[in-house]
Amino acid sequence: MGNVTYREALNRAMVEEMQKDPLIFLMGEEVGHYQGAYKVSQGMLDKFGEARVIDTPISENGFAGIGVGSAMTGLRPIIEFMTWNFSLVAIDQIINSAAKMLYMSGGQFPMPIVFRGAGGAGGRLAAQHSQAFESWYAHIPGLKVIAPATPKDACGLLKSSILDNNPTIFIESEVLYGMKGEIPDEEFYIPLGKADIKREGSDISIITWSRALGFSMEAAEDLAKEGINVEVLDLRSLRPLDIDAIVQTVRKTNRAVIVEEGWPMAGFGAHVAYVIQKEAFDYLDHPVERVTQRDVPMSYAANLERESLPNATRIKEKIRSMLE
Amino acid sequence: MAKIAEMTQLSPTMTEGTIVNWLKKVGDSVSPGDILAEVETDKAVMEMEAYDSGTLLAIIADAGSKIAVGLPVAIIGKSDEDVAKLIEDSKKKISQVSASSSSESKTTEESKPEQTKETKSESKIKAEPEKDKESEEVTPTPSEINKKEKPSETQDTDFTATGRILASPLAKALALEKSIDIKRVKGTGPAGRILQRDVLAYLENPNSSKAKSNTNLSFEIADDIEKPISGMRKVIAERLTSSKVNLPHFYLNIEIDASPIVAFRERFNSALAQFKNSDETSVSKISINDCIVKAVALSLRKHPQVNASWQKDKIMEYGRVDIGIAVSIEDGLITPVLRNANQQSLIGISEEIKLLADKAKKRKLKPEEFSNSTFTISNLGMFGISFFTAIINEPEAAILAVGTIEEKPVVKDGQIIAGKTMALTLSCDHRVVDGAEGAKFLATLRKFLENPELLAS
Amino acid sequence: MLLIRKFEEACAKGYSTGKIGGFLHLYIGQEAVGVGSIAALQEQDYIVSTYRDHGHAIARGLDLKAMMAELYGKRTGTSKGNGGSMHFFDKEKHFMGGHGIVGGHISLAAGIAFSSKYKKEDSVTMCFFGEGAANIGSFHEGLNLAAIWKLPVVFICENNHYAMGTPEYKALSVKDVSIRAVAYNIARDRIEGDEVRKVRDHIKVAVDRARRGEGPTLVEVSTYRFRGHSMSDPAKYRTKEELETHKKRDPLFKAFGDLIDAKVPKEDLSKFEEEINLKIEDAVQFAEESEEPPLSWMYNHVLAEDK
Repeated sequence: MGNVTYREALNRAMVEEMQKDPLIFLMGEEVGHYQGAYKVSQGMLDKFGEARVIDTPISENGFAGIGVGSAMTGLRPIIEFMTWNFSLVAIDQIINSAAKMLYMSGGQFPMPIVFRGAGGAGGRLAAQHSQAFESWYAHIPGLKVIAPATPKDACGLLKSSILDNNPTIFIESEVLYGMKGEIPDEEFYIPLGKADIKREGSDISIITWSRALGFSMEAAEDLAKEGINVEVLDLRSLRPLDIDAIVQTVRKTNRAVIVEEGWPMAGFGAHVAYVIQKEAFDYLDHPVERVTQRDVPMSYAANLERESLPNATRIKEKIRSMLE
Repeated sequence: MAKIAEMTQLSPTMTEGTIVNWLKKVGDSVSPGDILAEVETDKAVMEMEAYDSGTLLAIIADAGSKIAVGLPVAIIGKSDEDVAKLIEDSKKKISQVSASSSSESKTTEESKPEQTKETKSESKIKAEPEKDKESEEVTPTPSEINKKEKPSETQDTDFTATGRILASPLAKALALEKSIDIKRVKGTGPAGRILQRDVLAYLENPNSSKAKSNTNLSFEIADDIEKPISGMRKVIAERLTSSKVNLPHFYLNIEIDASPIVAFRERFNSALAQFKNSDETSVSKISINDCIVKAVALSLRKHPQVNASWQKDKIMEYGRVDIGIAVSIEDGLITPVLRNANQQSLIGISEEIKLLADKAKKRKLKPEEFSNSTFTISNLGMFGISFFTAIINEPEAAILAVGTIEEKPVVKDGQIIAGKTMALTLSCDHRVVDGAEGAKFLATLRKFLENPELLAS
Repeated sequence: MLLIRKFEEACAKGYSTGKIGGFLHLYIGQEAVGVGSIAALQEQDYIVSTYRDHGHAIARGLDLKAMMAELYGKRTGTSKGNGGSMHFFDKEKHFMGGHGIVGGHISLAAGIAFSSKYKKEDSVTMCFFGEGAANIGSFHEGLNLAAIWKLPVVFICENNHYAMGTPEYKALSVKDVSIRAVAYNIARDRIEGDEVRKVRDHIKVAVDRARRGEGPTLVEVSTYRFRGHSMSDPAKYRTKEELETHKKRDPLFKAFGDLIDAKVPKEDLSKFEEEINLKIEDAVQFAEESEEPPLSWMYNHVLAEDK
């Protein structure tokens, strides 16, 4: 078992797959010579050359379209958005072209493409650079949406996403890039669509993903000192969703709180809450709750951002109130 | 003897007064009615009168001080009296009471916010443990009372305005599984919602069930009693359940004219009264039930199919007529058997039944005394029951249920007259007894009972 | 071209009788552009088109019956009934759609060209779009990317002078679309699109250039659609006189004229027309008789693993 950072884990995933299949390429802003805006693609230009690690101008719509076109003709592109905030200018290519291509063509053109990048808040980056987009993309049939929270998950899931023949939205987090974690030395894959229990518990279930996992685990550790035993389920995969894992944990603890970086209205957690009440109705001893980013654009001020995020304090408060 | 002048109550609501200024000074003479000082009360500045005569020897409470009603403010006495001690004591009194009265008022203030807080929601109680502690140190009682009372008030909200019970899906599912009426469970969740823990608590201690209604009246609810199941009850439960489940019961009912048997019994008993036993005690009277037993025994001989038993591979028609008499005893019933009832006299039957019943009540019956009957009679007439159906005493084929004698209008020769009737209901095991047989048996029984002279046969 | 013309007319009929639904964008009047351009291509080349894709699809040789069935929304259609008029696809014939978002496919076309270059294939990508698309972001980004990476793509702007109801002069900041090639430093050309062979010859220059690896070309072809933008467009934004003027330059008339001048016997021409009529009839009949997709196919082809 090695100990690597999240960004190193992503790097390893891309390198391993690109070494095996010459049809895979990485395209995005600053991915090559700059070694990646967040150093995720460090060293890859040297390994694979400019033909396969391609720096682009600032043309998200353009190079997302290039990704789609090349996927139609047998290549397996990894298209990097520096952050998912910039995907908005390319969202037409992702949704109207990539997601729908297979269906519109009656099955003729699968889209083995990965769109990846950093999502959610990054730390005082203010409103335009701090949004969580999982609910936008999880809404679309034809896409897969993955949001790993640990280096090991990031590596295993990116590898699987690259091999998957569907357009995959791979949401990382700036804040997590430097996080260290254990990772197997030997090559491994993690299947898409499977959640993971990150902490076993009995009193209440936190269902979460991506950066919010960190807040959730912190809250869980603190609450343990108060005698509250929290189970934490990391979804990892939003679409497809591991409904069985969700139902299982709720049946076990009878209380569920969803913790997410997105905004409350029509956020992804709202769908999870629907799934819980539908599939585990008779096991609920309390209404399903959510701790989300507060319903405001992200402020620049440090204290406002801290308070706006679904931090451990807010999670603990919510959990305590649910156990009364 | 010097007297202590105390702060007087100058208005009905006054509890304390502030001395604005003394109108008499030390050394002045005082007579009742003199104004001693001006006192500011809760309402206005009033004049405080003296009630004693003498000299104002000392002023305990200076101008500006706030003194509660009843506490010393001055000393009035003879001019040469030594009142030093009195002064000291008075001053002590004032300081002592001030201390506790100010702490009393402190508690009152603290309790008030707590009261309002607690009515809002239970969660606030938990959120402010420190505040509770504080007031407890000073005066435990008020806050304790608050704590005890308030929770039940919030619980009333589990009946919402629409009368719905709030319970979580889990609690409902659990209650269903455990066959609990969820209305009896006290809810401790938000808005008084019933949660899983409440249902579990109820399972452990069903006494804690609530029966509160919107009217806020509290009822005296008797405690539930858990009775252990006695050996006899277990047997009754097993045997009667088995009989009811396994035997295809059907029921035949007749209503006989009870006047003849009533008249017969009267005549019999009054004739009997002329005799005495060998030991000079009177011969005990016979009862209607005794007559019924004899009538049944004679009828069974004529209808052996009813004096029978399903034996799986055969039907046994008994030669003997052993009639079980159902006797009610404490915590259950037992059926002692009257052997060879058809060959016994009325008096014999009567005595034997009395003996058996007595033994039964004293729990002195031997097993052979309450087993192997061929037919059973159950009589609830003494309890006023008009009519009932009994459960067959397996493995017998039938049982007779006897009701009370009722006075009611009957039709005789086309006229309605006042008559006496008695309901007899025969439960039959259809594997052994068919409707016709049962009916014939009952017809015979009616003949005997409506023509009681035949009981002498 | 005649095939296209007749096909489109049959579509118009089908639409008016409710057999074809949704949006229908006819190619009538522009036949020379599509036919001429695609004539310059080889088998291994790729075509990307807009929602006005019937002409391109027919020119590329897509099966008429399957096309008509697709328009009728039948299971035997080119996309099994999932696409309709705006989304013709044929993997084998390298016909890469049929796209509904104006200009969105331009970057996509650059991507196909990128792929050919990446795989070192001898393929050129041909991308058709209207002058309205020359104003959208994807056009600019696609051209820029094609330019900097020297992608083997020919961008053909079929300028029919009206973007739905908006005339060119109101929307375009430059005199003509081909000028924009200068902004991206790529080769450009500009021709009239009423004569099929002229179109072919000019387009071939651009195709060869791309095939040699010298990068993209923006070719503007001036043309005219004789019908409205779509079936629901009464085309009140242009005068009848203007339409009549353009109809005089109908590429089919020109072609017929040239064939007669070349001494092709009239009977051959008639026979040719008859054959085409039959093909169209067959296609329509096939479409009529085919069944709609079964409900059980609803969830097929959402994800690659769904069959």
